[in-house]
Amino acid sequence: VDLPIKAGHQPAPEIIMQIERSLVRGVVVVRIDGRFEFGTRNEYKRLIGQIVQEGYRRLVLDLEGVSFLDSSAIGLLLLTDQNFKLKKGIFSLVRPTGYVRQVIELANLPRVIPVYESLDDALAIGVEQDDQPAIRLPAS
Amino acid sequence: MTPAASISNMRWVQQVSATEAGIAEARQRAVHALRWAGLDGQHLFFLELCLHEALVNALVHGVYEHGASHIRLSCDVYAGWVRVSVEDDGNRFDELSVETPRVDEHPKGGRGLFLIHTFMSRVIPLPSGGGICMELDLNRNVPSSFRSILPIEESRSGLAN
Repeated sequence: VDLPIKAGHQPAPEIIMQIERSLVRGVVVVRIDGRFEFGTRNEYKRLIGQIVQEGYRRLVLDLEGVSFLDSSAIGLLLLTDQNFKLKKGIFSLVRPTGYVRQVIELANLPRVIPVYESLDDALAIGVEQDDQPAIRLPAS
Repeated sequence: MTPAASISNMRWVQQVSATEAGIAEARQRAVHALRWAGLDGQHLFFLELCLHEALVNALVHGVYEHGASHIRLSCDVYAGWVRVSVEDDGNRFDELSVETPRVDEHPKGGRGLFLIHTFMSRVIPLPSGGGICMELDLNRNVPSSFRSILPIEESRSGLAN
């Protein structure tokens, strides 16, 4: 079959990944848009590593804008959760949608990592002590 | 669900550059071709996921770990079925025998194959050893069953069945 690609049509450019962090009521909220997968794992690892190093013990990952999620992302979510649990912190997911939600559910993640329908619900869950970073790094 | 009757038959083969950028480009082109054939919705999403997982496996286990230098991707759409094959020339183990990891384990691999087995109708090892062939029945919703949910406790299930 003579596909449109051979005729010179190219696939439309796709949004790879946008990742940004904010602080909401003392809790770090990371929002991901686009593809969360093998090819974008290093951006996620870099940002989460930075947040862990800064000593925060609460992290909410907003997945509303994620259009694609693979097994690498599932592995990273489980590692992030393990990391926060070791520090007696809380890691949670918010608003996975559509097929991404289906993948998360089939992988049994909600049995390990709390998944909330709204940011408010996720923020309402407390930690054992305060919400401040356990370690404060000097501002650079 | 894409109505199978509205799907065009096609065959799409490409040699994939054995790099991260190469597999991303191959995946994007294959999805474009599948969309051109008329697939959309859940069929397209889960086909993209599974062919992506197979390409990542070929890159990581075939190229990086076992010295493969070539990856070949083919997609066939015919009579209400889609067949996707990803082959590499690395000398590696029978990947279909990899056990499904528990959800709270952090293994080197296995989750990608779990997703492939969950969302595809049939998974067939390739005679050449390095690679995987998977088929999706477009007349059924995916996943066709929930038998493959990642175990969370003691029980472990092999993927080959």
